[in-house]
Amino acid sequence: MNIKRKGIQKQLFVNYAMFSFIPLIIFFVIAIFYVMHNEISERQKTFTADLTDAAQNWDEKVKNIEQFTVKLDRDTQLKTLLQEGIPEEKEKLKTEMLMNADLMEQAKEYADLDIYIIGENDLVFKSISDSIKTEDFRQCEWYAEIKQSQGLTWLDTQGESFMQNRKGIYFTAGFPILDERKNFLGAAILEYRADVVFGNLLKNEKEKAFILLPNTNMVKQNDQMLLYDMDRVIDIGNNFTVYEKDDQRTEYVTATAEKIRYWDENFEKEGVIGNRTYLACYCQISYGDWIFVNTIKKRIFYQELYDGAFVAIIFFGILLLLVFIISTLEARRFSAPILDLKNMVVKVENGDLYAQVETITNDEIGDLSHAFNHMVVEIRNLLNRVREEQTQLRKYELMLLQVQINPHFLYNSLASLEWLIRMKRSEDAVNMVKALTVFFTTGLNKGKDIIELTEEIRNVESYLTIQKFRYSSKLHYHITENSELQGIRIPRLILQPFVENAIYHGIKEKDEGGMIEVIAGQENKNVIITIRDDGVGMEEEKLLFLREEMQNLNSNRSDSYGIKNVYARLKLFYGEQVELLINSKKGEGTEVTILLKGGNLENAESSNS
Amino acid sequence: MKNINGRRKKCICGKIVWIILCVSALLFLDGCKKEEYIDIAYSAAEKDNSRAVKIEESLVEAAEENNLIIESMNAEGNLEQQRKDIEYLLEKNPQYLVVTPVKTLGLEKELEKAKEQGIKIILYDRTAGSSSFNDYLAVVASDACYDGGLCAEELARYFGEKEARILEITGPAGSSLTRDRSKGFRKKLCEYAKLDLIKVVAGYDDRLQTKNMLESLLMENKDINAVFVHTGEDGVGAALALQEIAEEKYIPIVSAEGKQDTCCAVCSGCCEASVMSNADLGEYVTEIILDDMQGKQGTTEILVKGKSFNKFNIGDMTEK
Repeated sequence: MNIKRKGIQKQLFVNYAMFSFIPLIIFFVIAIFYVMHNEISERQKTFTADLTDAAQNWDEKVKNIEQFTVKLDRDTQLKTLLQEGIPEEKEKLKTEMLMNADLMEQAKEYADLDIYIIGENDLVFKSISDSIKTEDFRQCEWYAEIKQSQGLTWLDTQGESFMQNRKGIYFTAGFPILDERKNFLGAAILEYRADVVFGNLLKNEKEKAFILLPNTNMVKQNDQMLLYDMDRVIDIGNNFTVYEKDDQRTEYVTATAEKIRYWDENFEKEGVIGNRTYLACYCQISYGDWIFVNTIKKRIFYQELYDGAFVAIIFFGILLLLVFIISTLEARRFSAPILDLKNMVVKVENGDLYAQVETITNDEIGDLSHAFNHMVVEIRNLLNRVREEQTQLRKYELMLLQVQINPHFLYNSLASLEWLIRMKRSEDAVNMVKALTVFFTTGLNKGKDIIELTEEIRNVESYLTIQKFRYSSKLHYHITENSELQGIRIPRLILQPFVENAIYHGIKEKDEGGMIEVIAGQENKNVIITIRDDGVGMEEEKLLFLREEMQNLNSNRSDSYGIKNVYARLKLFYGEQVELLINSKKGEGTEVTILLKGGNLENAESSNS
Repeated sequence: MKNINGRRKKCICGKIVWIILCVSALLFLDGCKKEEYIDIAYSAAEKDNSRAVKIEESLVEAAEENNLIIESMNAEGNLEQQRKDIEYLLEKNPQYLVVTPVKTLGLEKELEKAKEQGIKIILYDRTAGSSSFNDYLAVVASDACYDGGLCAEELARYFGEKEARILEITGPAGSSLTRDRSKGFRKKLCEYAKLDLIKVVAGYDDRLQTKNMLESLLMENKDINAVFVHTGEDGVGAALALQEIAEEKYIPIVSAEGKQDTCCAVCSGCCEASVMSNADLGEYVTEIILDDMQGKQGTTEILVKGKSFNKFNIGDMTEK
C-alpha cells in the first residue's frame, strides 16, 4: 500500500492551522449566535418596552382628559360665565386672569394638562400663557367639529399645538361645553405634549408608531369583510395624521395593521407581529380599545446586528488570515532547520562530505545539526584516514612482497632445487617445491590482509624448510605453537622477516650455526610470538639504534626495512595494542617478541575504535 | 514545479488580503457619515416660554431668508445639556456659534474650545456679565438694563412725590437678564429719592407659585406698596396675589417682561405697567454675520430697547 508522502512543513502547518482554525471557528460561531440572540432579545425588549411605556402613559393621560371633561361638564361657574359673558372689558380681563389661575391649578392635578376654553361670547380661559393661533376660530373646521360632537373628539392637528409659539408635538382633543339644554356654550381644547407622553417612540426616527382605533362595526364590501381598513388610525410616525376610512395610509400602517386581528377570540392584548418587511409590536389600552403599534423595518431592526455581524465576520476573516499566515510562518520556521538538515543528509548521501548545516538553531534540532556537522567531519576524517591507511598498507605489502619475492632468495631456492634434482634427491626436491608453494601461496594469499596465525606459522615453517635445504648444517629450527592459537587472526607476513633476519644476521654469521626457535602462544588473552636465535647477536649500539628506528617508522633507512615494515603494518592493524620487543646480546643471540594485546585482530579493532 | 505552485499560492493569498482590505476600507468610508456643512450653530437656552420660542424662530427665519444654513439645539433650561449641545454643534464645524446661555457662568470651557476651532461666537439675547470668557464677535440682546430702568420710571410716574417701598421679585438666578434688569432698575431708582427698594425675593416664573409666595409676603410686610417683577408670569402671579388678599389699597405692579397675559393684567388694571421687549432679534444677528463674511467691521454690541406700556398707552400694543 502506497502511503502518500506528506512534507513535515505541510504537516506542521495543518496541525497549527487545525488547532487554531477549529477553536476559532467554533468560538466565532457560538459567540456570534449567542451575541446575536441576546442582542435580538434585548432589542425586542427595548422595542416593546418603549411602546408599552407610551401606551401606559397615554392611557393615563386620556383618563385625565376624560376626568377633566367630566369636571368641566359640572363646572357651573364656568358655564354661567360662558352663558352670560362679562360686558365690561376690565372686569372681563380680570375675570379671565382669575379663571386662568384657577385652571392652572386644576391643570396641575391632571398631570399638566393644557386647557384652553373659548366661549361663543369670546371669553377665553386658559391654563397656559400662550394663545391659540387663529383669532377667527369660529371659521375653523376644528371648532365646527367640536361644536357638532357630543363628547370628546380627537383633533387632527398633525402634531402641532393649537397655541402660538409652542414647539414640540402635541396631542389635542376638543370637548364641547354645553348648557343643561345641550346648547353649545364654547369649546374646550385640551392638549398634552406628545413627546412627553410617547417618550422614546418619537425620539427614534427609525421606528414608526401609530394608534389603531378599532372599528368594531363589521362591514362587508363585495362580499369581503372590511376590517382594519375601516379603523381610524392616528399615525404618530407621520405627524399624527388621522386616517379615516378611505385615506391613503403609510406603508408601515398598511403592512402591519392587517396583522392585528383584534376581533379574534384569542387576540392577545400585547404581542409582536411582522411580515417580510416590517416588525411590529402592539399594545392595547383600556381606553376605547385603542391599539398602540410600533413598527420598524426589519432591515433597520437587524441593521446594527448585520453591521455588527459583518464587522465580526471581517474581523474573523482577518483573524483567520492572521492564523493562516502565522501557521505558515511557524511551520516554515520550525521545519526549515529540519529540511536544511535533511538536504545536507542527502548531499552527504550523494557523496558530498563537505556539506554542512549552516543555520543552527538553539534547540534540539540545533543540537542535531551540530552533531550532524561534527559527524560529517569525522566521517570525512575517518575516510581520509582509512584511505591513507589503505594506501600505506598497500605500499607496505607491496614492499613486503618485493622483499619476499627477493630475486636472490628465489634464485638461491631454485638453485638449491636444481641441485636436489641433479642429485636425484627427488623427495627432497618435492618437499622443497611444496615448501616454496606454501611460502608463495601464503605470501600472496589471494590478496587477503588477515590470515590465521597458524597459516602464518606454516608460512614461516615453509620458509625455514626452504632455507634448511640451503643451510642444512648450520640452520636448526624449532616451532612451538599452542593449540589455543586456533582462530587467532593476524596480518600476514609478519613473522617471516624476523626469521629471515635471524638466519642472515644471526645464524649465518656463526660458524657452528645455530637454532631458531619460533614460539607462538597465548597468555592472559594476549598472543605472544617469539622468534629467538642463538646467533651472533648484535652490538648494544645497534640494538638501541634498532629500537629507535621502531619508534620512527617514517624513516626510510634500508637496513631495518623489513622489521620496520612489519612493525608499521602491525601498528596499522593493532595500534597501541601491539608491542615489539627486541632483545639481543652480542655473542648470545637475539630475541624478538611480538605481543598482541587482546589477541585476536577483531578484538584489537574493537578496542581501537 | 513545486516552486511555481508555491508562488501561485502566495499570489492568491496576497490578492485575497488585498480584496478584504479594500472592501473593509470602502465599507468604512461608506459608513462614515458625511459631514454636513453649517453656517450657524445656535444653542438655545429654553423653549417653554413664548419669548424664548420667538427668539429662536426669529433667528432661524432670518438665517433661512439669507440662505444661511443653521442648526439649532435647545437646552430646555439645563446648563449641563447646553454644554453637551454646544459640544455637539462644534463637531459640525460651523462658521458661527450663536449662544443664548442658560446661565451667564458655566460655558467658558466650551466657548474657549469654539474659539480654538476658529469659530466666531455671538451672544444672543443675553449679555456676558461676569463671565471670564468675553471674546465674542457680537452681542445681540434686549437692553435689559434699559428695560429695568423703564420699570423704575413707571413707578416714579405713579408715585410722583410720594414714597414708595418697593419689593423686587427677580427672574431666574444666574441669568444676565435678571442681573441687567436689576441693575437698570436700581440705577434709575437712584434718581428718585422717594423710591426705596426695601426687599428682594427670587421669583418662580410661575404665576401660581409667585401668587402664593406674594400673598404671605404682603401679609407679613404691610409696608410694601409697590412691586417690581422681572418676568411676565411673576407679574400675573403678583396681580393674582393682590386680588386674592383683597386689600383696599392699590399696589402698583410693574413688570419688566410684557407677555400677553401681563398686558391683559395691565388692561384690567391689575398691573400698573409692563415693558415689552423686542424678541425679533434674529435679523440683527444675520446682519452681523453677513457683514463679517464680507470682511466688514460690524457692530459688536446691539442692545434693543423695550417699550413700556401702562393703562394710558396700552392701546398702542399690537398683540392681544
